[in-house]
Amino acid sequence: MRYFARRLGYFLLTLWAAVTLNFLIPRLQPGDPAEMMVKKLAGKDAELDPAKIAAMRAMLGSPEGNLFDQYVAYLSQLLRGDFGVSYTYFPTPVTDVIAKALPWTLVLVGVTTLLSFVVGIVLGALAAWKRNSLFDSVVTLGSTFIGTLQAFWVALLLLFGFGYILGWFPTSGGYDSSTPGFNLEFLGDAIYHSVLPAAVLLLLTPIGWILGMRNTMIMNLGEDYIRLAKAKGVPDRQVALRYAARNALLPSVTGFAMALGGILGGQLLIEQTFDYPGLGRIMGQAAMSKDYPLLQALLLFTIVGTLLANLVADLLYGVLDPRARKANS
Amino acid sequence: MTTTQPGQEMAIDAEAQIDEIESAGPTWFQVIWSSKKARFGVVLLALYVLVAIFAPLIAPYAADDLSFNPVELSSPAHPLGTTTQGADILSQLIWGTRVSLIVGVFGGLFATAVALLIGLVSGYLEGTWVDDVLSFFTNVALVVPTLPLIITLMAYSEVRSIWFTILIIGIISWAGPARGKRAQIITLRNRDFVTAAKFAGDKTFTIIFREILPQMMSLVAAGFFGAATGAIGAEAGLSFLGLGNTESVSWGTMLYQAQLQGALAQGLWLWLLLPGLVLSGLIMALTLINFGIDLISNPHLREDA
Amino acid sequence: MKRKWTFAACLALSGALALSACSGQIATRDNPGTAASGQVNSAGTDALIETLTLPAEVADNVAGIENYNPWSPSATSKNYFYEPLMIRSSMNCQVVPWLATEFLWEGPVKLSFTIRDGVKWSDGQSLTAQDVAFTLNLKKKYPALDDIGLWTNSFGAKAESVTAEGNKVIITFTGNAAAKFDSLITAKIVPEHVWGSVGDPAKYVDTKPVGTGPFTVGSYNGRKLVLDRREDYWQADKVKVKHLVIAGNFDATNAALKLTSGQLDAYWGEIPNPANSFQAKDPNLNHFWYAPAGSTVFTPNLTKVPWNDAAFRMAVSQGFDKQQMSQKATYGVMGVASQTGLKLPYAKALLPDAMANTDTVLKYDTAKANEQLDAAGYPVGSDGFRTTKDGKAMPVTFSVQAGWIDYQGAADIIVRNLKEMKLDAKLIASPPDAVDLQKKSGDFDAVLEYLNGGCEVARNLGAKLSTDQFPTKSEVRTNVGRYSDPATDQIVTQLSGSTDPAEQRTLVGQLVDIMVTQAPVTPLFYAPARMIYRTDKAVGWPSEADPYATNSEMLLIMTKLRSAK
Repeated sequence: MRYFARRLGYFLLTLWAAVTLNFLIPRLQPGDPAEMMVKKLAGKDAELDPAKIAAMRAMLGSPEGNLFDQYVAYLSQLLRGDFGVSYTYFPTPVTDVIAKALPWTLVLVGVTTLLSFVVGIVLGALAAWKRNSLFDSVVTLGSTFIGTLQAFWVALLLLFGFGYILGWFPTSGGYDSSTPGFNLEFLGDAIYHSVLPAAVLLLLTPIGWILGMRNTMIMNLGEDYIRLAKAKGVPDRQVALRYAARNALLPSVTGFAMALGGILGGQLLIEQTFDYPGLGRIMGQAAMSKDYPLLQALLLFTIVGTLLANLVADLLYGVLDPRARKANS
Repeated sequence: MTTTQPGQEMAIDAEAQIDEIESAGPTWFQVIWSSKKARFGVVLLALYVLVAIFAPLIAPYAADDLSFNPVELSSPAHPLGTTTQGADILSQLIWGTRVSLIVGVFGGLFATAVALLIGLVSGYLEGTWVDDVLSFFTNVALVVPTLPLIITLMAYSEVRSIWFTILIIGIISWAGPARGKRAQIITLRNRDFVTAAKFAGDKTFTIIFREILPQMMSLVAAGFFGAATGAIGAEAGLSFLGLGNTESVSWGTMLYQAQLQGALAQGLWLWLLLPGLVLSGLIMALTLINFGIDLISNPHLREDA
Repeated sequence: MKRKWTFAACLALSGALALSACSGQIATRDNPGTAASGQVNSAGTDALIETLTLPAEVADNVAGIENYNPWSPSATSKNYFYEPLMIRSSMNCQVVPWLATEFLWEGPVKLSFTIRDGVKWSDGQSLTAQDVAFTLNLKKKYPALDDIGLWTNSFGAKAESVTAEGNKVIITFTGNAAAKFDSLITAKIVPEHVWGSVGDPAKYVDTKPVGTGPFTVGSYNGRKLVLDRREDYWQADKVKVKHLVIAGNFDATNAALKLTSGQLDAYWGEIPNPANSFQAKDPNLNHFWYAPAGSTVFTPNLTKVPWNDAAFRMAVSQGFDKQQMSQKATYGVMGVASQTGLKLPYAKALLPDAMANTDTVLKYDTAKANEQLDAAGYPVGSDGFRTTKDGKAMPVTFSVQAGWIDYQGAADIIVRNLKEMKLDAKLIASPPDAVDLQKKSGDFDAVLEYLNGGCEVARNLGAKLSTDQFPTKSEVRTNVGRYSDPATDQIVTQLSGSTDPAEQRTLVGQLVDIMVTQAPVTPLFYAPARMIYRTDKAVGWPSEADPYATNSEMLLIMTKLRSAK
């Protein structure tokens, strides 16, 4: 019980620290949002009209009080669930902006993470079981090579190859002319637009699982209890599944929980390259244009997601592995 | 006839055993070299290092020399063509090796050093307030959003030198490995040799860094190589977003410019393809070497080199 | 004394190249140049164009939020619902009456507009002068809407009152407000019967826009906006586009691709090397015109030695290879800029008579530059670099925005040129925000920046030379170089308050003189307002032969487009 209580306390404390940092960091950047906004609308070669900047400042509102007052105001707003209004999409509330982008990221990154996890541990386990075979060599070397490829570069290549040159897939956006909703046309359109980004993710994400699972399983296969099982005459298949794999799964499962937490951050580089309307894209824009309210809300979601996932992972570990519980209480 | 005392016999036996142990085990280099994969990695890395060291001799021009005809496809003077700014692509590739290697080595070192310091102390003193405080910082550092942090830090520096980039990368990447080191040391600290050192009266720091650390060397080395590959990838990503160092042209910067200038629409394939390939090659070399290091710490894997 | 400006004197609806006697107007001339391509437009037919696809009007609309409020930073469409009083083309500076048919200055403190008859809002009600007065007064009540500075003292005295009398709107100012005219006429007019009851207009999410504009909302699926032509638009017979599709945001490669395949009909963002990336793919249909909107200028810090010496500046300006800079920065598309700071040949009418037929571009001549530097008293020191008159070293650190590839290309050549003139020059690439900080604090040696070539010279060239336009700690204002001269300030004040074209021309001539004899900034090459388009569906786009507008005047362009088949 103490174990769980400690973990929870930790979670809350870290959450508070992260929220505070989250508040401070964008405000330490020089320049103010109004000027940034007008600059963006005017373009690179343009004179900045002071009247426009003044009007934008009046619109976005200047924060009252010094930094500490703003911080207190921010915290009390948070506790009320008021995330404020986005600067870029003024006067749309931040929650609306995020709500529009969330499904795209959830679906794209969520589905690919799940698929990658499954494919990854299966391949990794198989490779470990058939150690030193051709299969193993191909999987290991192939995964290693693919793991060295930078995500944004692969994205660019796929975009240019299949999107521009061959023209098989669309080159930007999440959908095109269909109307969002649960209709076949839209779903088809959305899937068509997610093929390329999903391909990049499906190519690169399983690597970690494959190699991790393989290594852990190999380590486990050398353990004594495996030898004992084999000596007892347990069939090979059972040894693999019920003994080796199941134990090797442990670190992977907690890793998976953490990966799920990372989903809320979206995949910035990939979404940017494909102009995919997910959370990563919005976060990139908000960071570059000093859209404080939107940025803070997004970061908050990411942080909460990561922390929650960590918490769940720790708790899971406590549940799944009695040794961890004992060692920590 | 000399008769040996019983004690002496034991001592002689023990010595013989020690000799056997010391000569039976291979050195770390032999282990790495024995693995085909790792061997290939070492050779590949050596190639990159040579290119970096001899860059002034090999590269036909300077990386920031913009005096050539822009948008030239392959020609004898420019075998890989020129960029839209008029720089020679081959030269930029060669000089870029230096940037990536420097970032890899020093970025990896910095991140590993900080991770070691914090992770080891925190793990050894697990359960005390020192650990609680350090773990707290580590956790917060893990969840702090990196992109806004980077943008903020960038905005304050007038010149973004390569060391600044290394600093940034170190700041954003020490937390994960720190956690890992902490976990490792927790498993090691209950071993006998640590207990013995404690009884001998050694101070905490001495125990951590003189007794435990050497045992972890292979794990630390593996961690370093991992951090190095991470640093190289991070530098490429940062440069691609336009947040990289402004003093020299790295492979990531080349990709950034290629995309911005519509390289594809102008037929400059190579500008887009090559920097990514050589980047992958370097990371591959380091990863393969890491395989070899894994063999040192995990003898079970040795059979499959 | 009253001056009366009538409809006839100031109007040029058909884009004819007539010289006009109006204030500060710039007439067009025939001008061959490299800024455009190929053969252009036939006269077109009277048929309707079924659909035309244009890129989105704002940079961020990833979230698919629908809001037509014209003051929102990311309005789903800004141009086609709410219309301005008049439209002034940034190219030929002719004022085209729009919702207002004529304007009248009674002295520089009273301005009245006559509002057009027979204009209907898209809900059927009629536009009245009361709507205009309402809109302008709304800006007083809610400063967030005052993006034209009507109720502030920026560029001209602030307004005192706005009233509607019959079909006229009368605006009285607290002082000389002649300089406010250009921004005043761009005010978008909204209907009182809708906006009068929405509370704070800045916070109003306008999903069913009621405007006087040529289109209504057809459909919006979060990404593609389809606008439908209005039959009851007040000049519906001039609008030939049946459905206007506002697609999405595209980067350079995507845009070039979509333009080539016909999925986009026009684009005005940056496409590097347009001749190669787009026009070459089909020279008959693919065109581009990069109109000079202003100049990219070299700005030294005039408070520092040796840049405070006009002779030094003039000498150095001789040593800049502007042709090469344009080559590197714009693929040679943009022309080399005139030292006068005016965009030539469009602004030729404003040149003082003495310069009328001379080439006002400073020629690249390193030998001459070195000669003049020697003569000005800057000896070459023992290390091969020039020193100040008393022998002190004078290194030059040139700051350029990292990531702005065109600026970086030009900067590279600048530093090389400076070295050719034996100046110890160094190039530092900093993040754009850091360079802006430098401009604000005045802590720099030299930077690249922009000189606008707009119609009101007082606000552009004049502002660049005015003491009250120094950048402040919180804003980058026009006079980055910190040029300061009381006589010049007088000239600019007079110019901004003047409504007499002859007087204006004299005053502009004096400013041009300063540029040409003192080189407070050195214009390098022109900066573009781009128009990249296809002529398979629509003809009548602005082009070099017919430079009637840029992408800032989309409404005007909509009334000029005709079907190609």
